[in-house]
Amino acid sequence: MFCNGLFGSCKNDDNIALFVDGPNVITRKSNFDLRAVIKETSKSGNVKVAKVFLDQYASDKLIEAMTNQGYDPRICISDIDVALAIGVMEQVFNPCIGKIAIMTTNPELLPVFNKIKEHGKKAILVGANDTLNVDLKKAADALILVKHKNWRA
Amino acid sequence: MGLFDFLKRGKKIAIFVDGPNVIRKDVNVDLDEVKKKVSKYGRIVKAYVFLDQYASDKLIYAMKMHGFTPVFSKGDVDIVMSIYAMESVFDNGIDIVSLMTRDTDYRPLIVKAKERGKETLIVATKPGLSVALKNTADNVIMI
Repeated sequence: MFCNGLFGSCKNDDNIALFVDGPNVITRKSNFDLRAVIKETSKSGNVKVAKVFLDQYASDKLIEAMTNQGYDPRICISDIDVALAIGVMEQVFNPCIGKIAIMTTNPELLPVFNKIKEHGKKAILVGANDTLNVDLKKAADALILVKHKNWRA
Repeated sequence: MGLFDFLKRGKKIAIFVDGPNVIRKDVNVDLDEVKKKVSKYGRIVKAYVFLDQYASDKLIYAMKMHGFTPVFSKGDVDIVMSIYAMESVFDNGIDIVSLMTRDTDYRPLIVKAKERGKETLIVATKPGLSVALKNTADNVIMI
């Protein structure tokens, strides 16, 4: 698929938008290296958008850490799920993005995965093998498995 | 009909109703009144009502009778409704995005719709309407 921009065309099939469901994924129990998440996702294409959605309780240190790891932090006062769905839908309509990767375990985001596929884009689920949601796993076109930094059961 | 009214009637509206939030016994909304008030801003071309798994057959029938297309969701309807509304935000055939809800969670959606040049309209009942939503939207209709 090609998109014709003002300054020529860009090949967009390999461009990825990565979204991280902060409160759902960044917990003390599951300690992910989010830089490694970008690296793992980069194996499937070029990560052009990397956004992490955080709630109003996110500390300044966490926000700074997210920025340092290459993410664009988005602070939401309201429900994270709705903000994330809106962010994803914006990229669904972005002609320069071909794949959308979402790091979450929340099964309520299933309609988002279906809508991505409906619009002809590839839906990728990112997460650790032991915490992935079965519904999302079945809905996604591809999986990107990442490891916990130091897993504490 | 004046020129101003004619221009307003030419606008196309997509309306999305947050069922579990608004269609309740304690709220008691008349959907015909809603359609009548929203129609003052333009022509309704899309009308969806979002319902959860607890919606009764009678409710579904009533929604269809009022000309709303029911969309069902397991659990919260917020995500499905925002997905549908975002499709209208990117639809060039839609001028006004109207939400019938009192929930503050939809604020980012209103912001995004305004960012994309769409007019936003909130339809709500007086008790419980989010102040953030009221102050972010271009127009508010109180039922």
